[in-house]
Amino acid sequence: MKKGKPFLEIFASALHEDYRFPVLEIFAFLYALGTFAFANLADFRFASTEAMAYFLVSSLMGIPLFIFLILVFKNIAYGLGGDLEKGTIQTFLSYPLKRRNILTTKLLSALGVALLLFFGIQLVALIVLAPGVVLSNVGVVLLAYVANSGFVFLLTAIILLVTLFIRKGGVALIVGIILWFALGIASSLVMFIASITGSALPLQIVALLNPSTALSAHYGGLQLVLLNIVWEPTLTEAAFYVVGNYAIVAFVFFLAYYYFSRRLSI
Amino acid sequence: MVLIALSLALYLVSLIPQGTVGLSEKDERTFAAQTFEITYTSYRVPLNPQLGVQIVIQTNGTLNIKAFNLNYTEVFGWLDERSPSHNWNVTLLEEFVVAHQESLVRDQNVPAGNTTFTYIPSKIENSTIIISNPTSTVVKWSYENKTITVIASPERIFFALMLTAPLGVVFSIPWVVTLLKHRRGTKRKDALPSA
Repeated sequence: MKKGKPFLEIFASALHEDYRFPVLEIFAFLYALGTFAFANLADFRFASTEAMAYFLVSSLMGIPLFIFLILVFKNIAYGLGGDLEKGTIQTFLSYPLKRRNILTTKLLSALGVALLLFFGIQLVALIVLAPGVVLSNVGVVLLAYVANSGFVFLLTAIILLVTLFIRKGGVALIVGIILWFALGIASSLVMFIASITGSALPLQIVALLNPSTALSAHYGGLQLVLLNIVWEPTLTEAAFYVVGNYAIVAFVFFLAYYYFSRRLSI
Repeated sequence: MVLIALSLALYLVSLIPQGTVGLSEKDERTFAAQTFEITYTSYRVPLNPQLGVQIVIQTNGTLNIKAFNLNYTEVFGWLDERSPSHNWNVTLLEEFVVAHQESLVRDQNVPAGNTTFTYIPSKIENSTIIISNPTSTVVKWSYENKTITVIASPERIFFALMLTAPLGVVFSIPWVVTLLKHRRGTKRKDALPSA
């Protein structure tokens, strides 16, 4: 048997499981509606063109990113967690494939396809909404996408790890949703603390977990929230936070792969 | 089916009505032959893909409307330099157009009757709109201009809709055919007497 065939077979099976009709259609509809309905350029009309491109991307990603997260949580926590819970993962383990490749096929379906759909719709939205703004600030737009996705990738990696540990789909899904809200509340609290103490440190810690905070601070978005400006990073500094965040994401994914390949007993 | 879902969302978005920012500006007067005037300028805030301008014109003759992505100071400064007496005739406008050809973003004739002119830029820009009376007769006209907010330019949403909806229908045909075949097969199996 060729090496690619079992990989594709598991991938096809995962796709079939993750995106049963009408899951993909409903999420495509919600992505598109969320993207267009919440797009906002008007509030930042006094900012620079670069800042406007950044805030446009942020507003485009806001609600759809949450919808994306629900889809990914459903696929990873509920899908993979369900496979572990019911023992159906053993069928996949009987294929002549390394464990890490099995996890890759699962993630390609759960995360890759959801990402393709998400960015496909975002691209349509950018072309429809503000082609001029996007074309003149391609670098900022790309950086904004990378930064805004960082937090979601981190949550996804954590949920993958949690799912592998607890092996219960429903519980992992609930943990993921609680984690999303808890981190959102914690981030607001940290901003409040930063504004009271006048220290940039809490914001810098948040920026490592959610690098869009650094970009937002760079483009002046945080100044609207905080009464006193405590942090104004340069674009290079903001980019470092993005790199730092992705290093953390890569590490958590590595842990998940390591656990699935070496430690998980099924 | 995904494309159909996407076009359905786009259709819903296209139903969201436009809003108005600030107060509108109205006036009714006569337009001298072979002259022009600045009707709108984004001197307070630059226009952007969600912030446009709409001018409703009622006239008994033919007018011409031109939109430039220039701010008021640039336009007025240029005109003031060439014609300090503010004798703004269409020859001066033609010279202005030649000198700022790359900044001319819309050029449209306004026939007698009611016309709604909407301009929503694709990027952030300062805009100045000039209306001229190129005819040799005095024209009576009234206008109302307002700054409008939209989710997205209706033309661009319509374009995306026209692209996604038919493609979605075409791509979903094989899926529907397979589904129908599968159902027919299941019905036949049900109709067969059990052994």
